[in-house]
Parts: sequence; C-alpha cells; structure tokens
Amino acid sequence: MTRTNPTLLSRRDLVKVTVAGLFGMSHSGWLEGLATRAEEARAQGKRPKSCILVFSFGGVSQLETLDMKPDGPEQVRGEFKPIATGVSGIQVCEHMPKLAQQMRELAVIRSMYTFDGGPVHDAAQKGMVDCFFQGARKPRKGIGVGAVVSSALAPPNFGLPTNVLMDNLPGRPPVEQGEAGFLGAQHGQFHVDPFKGIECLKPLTEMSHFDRRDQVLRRLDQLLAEEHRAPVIDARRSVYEGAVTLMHSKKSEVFNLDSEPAALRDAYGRHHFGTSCLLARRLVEVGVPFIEVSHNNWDHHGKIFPELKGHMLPQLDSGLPTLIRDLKDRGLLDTTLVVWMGEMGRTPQINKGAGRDHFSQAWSIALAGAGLKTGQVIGRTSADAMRVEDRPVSFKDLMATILLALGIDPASEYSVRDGRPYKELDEKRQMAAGLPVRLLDADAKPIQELLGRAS
Amino acid sequence: MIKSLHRSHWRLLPTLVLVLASTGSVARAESPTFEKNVLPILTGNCLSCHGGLKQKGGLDLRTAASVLKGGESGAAVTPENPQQSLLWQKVAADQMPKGPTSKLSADDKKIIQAWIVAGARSARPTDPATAELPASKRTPTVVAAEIDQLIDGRLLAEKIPPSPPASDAEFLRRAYLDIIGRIPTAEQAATFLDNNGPDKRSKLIDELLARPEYGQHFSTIWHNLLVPLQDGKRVLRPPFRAWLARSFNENNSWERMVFDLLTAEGDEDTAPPVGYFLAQPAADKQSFTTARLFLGIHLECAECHNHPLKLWKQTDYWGMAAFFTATSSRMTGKGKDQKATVTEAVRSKQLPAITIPKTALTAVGSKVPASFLDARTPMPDEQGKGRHLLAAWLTAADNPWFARASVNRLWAHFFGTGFVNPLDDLDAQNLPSHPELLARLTHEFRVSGHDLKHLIRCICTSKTYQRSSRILVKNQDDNGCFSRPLVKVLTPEMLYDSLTVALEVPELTLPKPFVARNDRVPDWFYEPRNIFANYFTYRDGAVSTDFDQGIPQLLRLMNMEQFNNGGKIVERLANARDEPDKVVESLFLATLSRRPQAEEGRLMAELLKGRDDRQQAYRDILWILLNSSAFSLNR
Repeated sequence: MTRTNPTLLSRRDLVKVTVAGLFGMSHSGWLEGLATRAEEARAQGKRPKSCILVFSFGGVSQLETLDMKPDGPEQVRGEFKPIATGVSGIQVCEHMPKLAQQMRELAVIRSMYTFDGGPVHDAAQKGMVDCFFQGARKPRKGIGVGAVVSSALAPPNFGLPTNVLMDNLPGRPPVEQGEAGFLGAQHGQFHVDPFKGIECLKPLTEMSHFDRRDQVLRRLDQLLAEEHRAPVIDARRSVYEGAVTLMHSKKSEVFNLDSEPAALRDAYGRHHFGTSCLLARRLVEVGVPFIEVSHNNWDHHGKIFPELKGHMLPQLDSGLPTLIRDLKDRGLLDTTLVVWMGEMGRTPQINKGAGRDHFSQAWSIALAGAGLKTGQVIGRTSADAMRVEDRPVSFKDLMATILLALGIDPASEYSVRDGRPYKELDEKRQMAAGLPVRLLDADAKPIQELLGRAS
Repeated sequence: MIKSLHRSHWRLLPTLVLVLASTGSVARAESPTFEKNVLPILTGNCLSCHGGLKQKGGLDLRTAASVLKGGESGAAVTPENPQQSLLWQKVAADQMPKGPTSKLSADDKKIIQAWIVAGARSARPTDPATAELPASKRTPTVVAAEIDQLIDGRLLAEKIPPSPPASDAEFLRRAYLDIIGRIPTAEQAATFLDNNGPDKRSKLIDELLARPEYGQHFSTIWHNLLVPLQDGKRVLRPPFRAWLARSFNENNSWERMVFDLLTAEGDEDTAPPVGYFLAQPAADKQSFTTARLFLGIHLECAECHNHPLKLWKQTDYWGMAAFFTATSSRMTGKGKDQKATVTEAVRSKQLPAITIPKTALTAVGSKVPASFLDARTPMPDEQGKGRHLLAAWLTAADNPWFARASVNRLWAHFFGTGFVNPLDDLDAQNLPSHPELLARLTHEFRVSGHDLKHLIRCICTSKTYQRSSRILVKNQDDNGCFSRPLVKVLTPEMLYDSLTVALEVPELTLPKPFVARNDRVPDWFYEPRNIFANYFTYRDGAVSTDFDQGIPQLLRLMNMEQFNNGGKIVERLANARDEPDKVVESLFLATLSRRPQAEEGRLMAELLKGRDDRQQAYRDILWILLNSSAFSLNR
C-alpha cells in the first residue's frame, strides 16, 4: 500500500487521511491486535472505558418508569403500580421487573431539567448535542457526545468504527447524537444493523477475484496521485483503502452473533432492541468506545398504557437489564458506562387521548456501571410531578458526569483546526491552531454524588 | 439486500469545513491594514464595549472608517502619528482595555502602532472608478483576457507559477461536469479529442450551454440551495425544479429569476417559483436564506441579538424578515388535488412590520418595521406587497451586494473556491482575494443584464479556467491566487448522472427505501436519483473540494449489483467483438473521458491475459474504473 508523501498534505487533509488510520493500514487480523491490547490491559489491571447509550427517542414517561406518583391524583398517577426493587426504598414501575432486580447497579436521576432546546423532539435533541464546545468565540454546533467520547478514547488504528449507532426505525428521520465536526470524520456515528452488521461488506465476487481488481485499482489511483498530487485524491484513496481493509478485517466477526448461547439471546430478546444490546456488549468487549442503541417509538400522545405495557416496556425490560447483568458477569461493568435516557419526559397530566405530551422540566433517566455510586436516586420531583424540587440536572451537567465517569476531563481544550487536544500540540502547532476551545463550559456541574469511585 | 438506502447517517460524518482564508497563505511584504492586522486584536479585546452591542463614548471600532471618525472625544486615530492618536495613547498606557487583567500584549501593541505609523490603511476594496468601466457587455474573449491579466498579474507579483494549460482531455471532462453535471459519453469524448479545429473549446462551451442538461444541472444545484434539508432529508419539489431548469435553459436574467422567486403567488403547478416560499414558509427563514444566497450576507447571529463583532444589527435581521410577514401558504382543494397555495395580503400604502418573537434573546416583543440593509428606505405603494418592495431593491442594478454575491458564487462553482469565502458571508471583514477582478466581473454581470450564460462563457474561455489542476511544487501552497483550478468532488447527483452515462443505462437499479406501512410517499421518493442522492447527502453547505464520503458509501458503490454486472456497455462491447485493446480504450473513454496511458494499458492487458471469459474481464475493468478516484473527482 504505497502512499504519497504526507508532507504534501495540509493539516486539514491529514485529518481526512486518518480516516484510513481508523481502519488500520494493514490487512493483518484484528484478533491478534486485540489479544495484545486485552493482555496489556489485563497486565496493567485496567481496561479502557466504553459507553453504551440506550437512547429512547420520543420521550419516555417518567411516571410510567422511574418516578411513579402512586399517591398523586388520578389524572397524574396513571394505570400502573410501583414495585419494590433490589434497593429498599426505591420503587419503579411494575412492568420493569427485571430492571427492578438490577437496582443495585443503577443510579436513577429523577431531576432532569432541560429547558434548553424545549419540549420538541428535535429541538430537545439539539439541546443534547449542543452541549459541547459552546464557550468558544464561535460556538460549535451539533457535535455529539459519541464523537467526543470516541475522539478521547479511541485507540489508534483500531480496526472498527469507534462510534457505532444501532437504530430500530429505518426510514424515519435520522435520530443521531450529532456530528463529529472538527473532531474528524472517523469519530462520526457509524450506522450498523445488528442483524446484518455492516452492509455491503462482502464482495459480489470471490474474495481472491476482488483482491485482483483491488490491486489494479490501487495502482491506477497511485499513478493518478503521483501525477496530480492533489490532497483530495489522497483523501479519497484513504477512505477507499479503509473500506477494503474493513472488508478483509476479521474484526467483522464481532457482528456474528451465532456463537452466543441461545438462552442468552432469548434473555436479551431476539427483537431489534435486544439484539442491539447484545451486539453492544460484544462491541464493548473488543474495545469500541461509544455505542448508541436507539430504541425509538416512545412518543405516546395517546393510548400510552397499552402501548407501554404491550410493547415498549417488555422490550426494554429484556434488553437493558440483561445487558447490565451480562456486562457484570463478564467483568465489564466497572469499565462500561450505561446510560438509559430519552430526549425528554412526558407531561404529568394525562391528556384526553389517554396519552401524555412532551415535558422537559422534570423527568428521569438511569445510569449504570463505570464505577458510579449506584443503588441510589438523585434528585426529587414535586408531588404533582410538575417541578424539580431537589438537584436539577441539565444536559450539560449530565454530559459532564458522563465524561468524568469515562475519565475524560470536561475542561479539556481542543484545537478547532484538527480536533486534537490542545495540550498535546507543541508551541508552534498551538500558534497555527489558533485559540483552543473548551469541551464543556465551566458552568456544567457534574453530579459529584455519583462519581465517588469513578473520578 | 440493502435496506433503507436513504438513511442519512449511514456514513462517517464529515469533518471540517474548509476555510480558505481570504488572506491567502502567501507572505507579502506590505504595510499593515486595519482588516488584516488590527481588527483581529480589537475583536478580541475592544469590541465588547466599542462594537455592535455597546458603543461606549460613542466609539465604534468595527471598521477603519468608524475608527477614523472616532467618538465623543474626537478621532481615535491620526494616521502616521501614534502619539496624537487617542487609541494608541489609551492602549500604550494600559488604560484600555479596562479591567485589571485584560491588557494588550506588547506584540499586539506593536501591530497597532505600526498600522498607525504606516498611515492607518484599510484594505477595504475600492471599486474601480466608474469612468474606467465599459458601458456595455463585452465579448467573452475580451472579458476572459481581462480575467487572465488580473489573475496573472497577481501570480507574478506573488511569484507563484501557474500550472500548465489543461490537456484537451482534462478540459473536456471538467467542462462537461461543470456545465452540464455529467461526464461525456465515450463517443462524445472521442469526437472532441479527435477534433483538430482551432476553436473547439469555445465551441464545446457553447454546445454544452445549449444542452437542456445545463439547466437541469444548475436547477439541481439551486433547488438544493433553496430547499434546505429538513431532519436530514430533502423534500423534493419537482415543479419548482423544472421551472428552475427551464429558466436557466432559456437564460432568463438572474435578476428576473430571483424577483420571481421572491414574489410568486399561487400554487406550485401554476406558479412554480412559489416552491421557494413553500420550502420554508416563515418570514425569518425566508429573510435569512434570501440574504445568504442572493446577497452573500449572513444574518444568523442578528436573529437573537446584536452581535458585538459583526456589523448587522438585530433590527436588520427582523427589518428584512418584516417584508415576508404578509405572505402565507394554505392548503386548497381536496383529496388528491389538494395543494399548497401561497398568497400575499395587500397592505396598501403600509409598510409591513414584525414583532421580535420570544425565541430571541434581546428586544423580545418590540415591533420592527420593514427596512433595507443599506441606507435606502422602503416606500410603501398602492400595490401594497412587501415582497415586491424587497425584490425590487434586492435585484436593482445599484444594489451593492446582489451581482457581487452571484459572481462570487458562480466563480467558485468553476474554481472550487470563491474570491470571498464562505460564499454566503461576504461581509466587510471578509476581504476578496482579487478585489478589482471581482468588481470588474460584477460590473460585467450587471451591464449584461445579469446574463448567467454570458458570465459562464467569460469564465470558461479564460486561460485561468483552462489550466491543468495539477499541482506544481512551486504553487502547492497557493491558496486563493488561482494558479490552478481546485479538484472538486462530484456531487451525489453528478455521480449518479455520470454513472448512468458510463454504464449506458437510463437509470440505476437501487433498492427501494423502507417506508412505514401507513406512510404515503410521493412519486419522487422512489426515483433512483433521489434515493442515491439521499444516501450521500446528509448536510447542506458541503464544500465542493472536500471529500466527505465515508466508508459505507464506498462499500455501497463497490459491492452493489449494478457496479459489478457491467451495465449495458459491457454487453455492447462484448457483442461488438472488438479487439481487447480497443475495448479497453472504449471503457476508458466511457468512464474517465480519455484514452489509457501506456502504463494503464499495460495493467489492463495483464488483467485480460489468459481470460477466456472476456465479458467478465471487461466487467472487472469497468468496476476498477468506476471505483477509481479519478472517476468520482472533477479535476
């Protein structure tokens, strides 16, 4: 694999070229590399951290899940009953019995207060992704937490995408945790179908036949690049080479779920969500830093009770608790942060259609793993569920908590020019890079009560 | 099988916005100017008190003119005399900026001092004197010569050698892609390459401009600019796009087209330009997009507040939006015949006004009357339509921005970068690389009656355009001097159209996107060209010189049925039973618009050696060529 002289490339183009770096520059198997990494980590007694975001787009009703109001008026409390959990004094909804059993591993936040963005799906989600890089003179919009975590934690030449998205509603408007912006394309969300892995990954001819085509193509590209020397040619070549490397990569074995025991597959649930959770665990095992499992369809403006009881909660209650238990059984939970959240909650008052509408002033989420102090509830809402009475948590506060749990400093400064941590640049590069931008504003307040062991 | 082809996030998301600094990367020994040297210092240190938000002591430090004018204490700067300059006295004595920690560094001070000593110059372009400018439209050859003279003069001064002239093959493919948005067929390529006529390049430019595909190409570009993505998807407006194509092909004046876009009323079938309003039926969005695309003015920050660093005020933003307040759309008709109709209420002799909504940060609830972005005042007439007032002002021959922004955008279409970048932010602090050339082309565009084909002829006839894009060691750092055109990436639509040409098929066969059971989708949704474009498009404002496709896109191209089965072309060539090297030549002409070079011919011969199944071997070659970098780039 011949490359042209990299000094011909501008810094900007080098960032693009690293898209190839993402998939490594060699065809050597990932298993060897992975084994070494795992051994190294074992030798040092630590594993790299990962984050799984279970994202329930549409808005989960806090009153039917984590913050029930059994003593509230009828128009607030709804049809479901609370049940006891593995932690005395904490109750959750009766339709999440397995999750209830895992309460020791969970920290529930009942005081999400997310005025920014407002209670509309896309706007609320924008509020989430617009947390980062806001303090700079030119705020950066739309850079998502997945890209931030991937850029901070992804090992070089990793061999698989480092920010993976599994989404259960193809054909709908994209649900995504933002772009990668100046952090680099390699940190953008890479869509994977849990049933199929990466699509179009196999050639339509024999691999040996494909290789022969590939060799000639590379030679043509090389001739062009030598004659022409435009950086964009190298940018394109590197993405092409990355695609071919991925086609050869044994690492794509991670997408083959056949080796998983049938009982475990059943426990996760064989639906899209359960399968995504299982694949998320496998991706964590090989060291992928950020995985989003998107579980859509929580926007219950009508008939909320049969919908939740019939579909959404049973699905959730197979995938999520099994994921947490499975991670724990494999010793991965201490290094893996699991976040379950939507983009907002739902109105305390049940509407005329027996549903609940959008509400972002007081809602709930749950966190697990990564050494957090779990088995506790953070925050409290009023009896009518309308207000946060204790410890309001904004998106920024949550993001600061997530970063600290993963060992990433929210005060880190980045070079906008090439997305690298500013302090890693020498003085000359700092000059060229201009002013650094701060990852999170200083006014983001991490939830220290959770972070005990983690930070 | 591949499902949900149009998911917009099946890709590695892009990285960086290419910032082509107008300052260029070429060091020049020249005296400091306000905009290049001093403003960056003032921006970070002074403008929060002496800028757009506050003007303490009546002093506004945002432009050279306002600094010279000064505030309540008189002129802030006396050119050539720092000691007599209030600005320098305050800064030198650390009296300004106020506050204990925020003093200027010694280096910054030196720059300010040097700027005053050198005469307190501004780099604001001074338009060429009107007397020098020709009164009427000139021939493309004459204008092209003027382009070359001004570009070459600058290159000479900067000591940057231009790249050599483009070969016929380079020019051919680039002209096809730039003007009609697709590559030539094998036959068209061979005909041009084998023609020895002296003026074949000019003839080709004329031929291409006369093809209906010219209008279609530019209608795709403008449709995508005027109908932005929503939730990562674009709602196509076929009648609107057809109207754009027709208007471009008939070469209606740009001013007329924009006037119609801004004032159309009715439904999309009878008044297709209403598509522009329907795409974003809100006064503030209309205003913002209109300013951005037609004037090169970026009002974004001014939506919510006055900006400390920019010249535009919140009242500018809402004053412009006010022109659109009386316009609305509603659904008329029933069932299948239901369609959106745009109407503008008549407010005779009244100036429309708008109330700043709660989403703004400042001045919420205050009422802003319609106003122009320059010193002129809108005069309400009997016709009583706000949008007509705005459109007439915007497209008037003496509007300071309209023609300039259009020329800059069209130049960037051909060269990969404008005189001013970004294309939608031509503000006073963002200086053009070639002020005089931009002014002259702007003038030419005006006196030609905003004739787009004429401007394209002028640009494409120039030696500057007809250069190879190959990079020389000595011009590799050129950033904005136009020593060579930049290599561009084919847009998704250009890639699609070019693939159909190369494969010799009317359309590509692509898996239909997933649609939820009860969702009714319009016909265009399943158009393969749309499916293909959606798969590659995920954000507006992509920079043509950035390769931002990701691995999923390339995997799709490599491993899709149609890119492996050879299309109609391999069938045709195999049936013709030509000699293999002749077939290889045809495949090169059909994909890369040129004949193979010696080394390439050798590689292909090697690939063919000993292969009994010729057709499969030709498929291999076609696959290689279609997936090569050369195919998806426009150099």
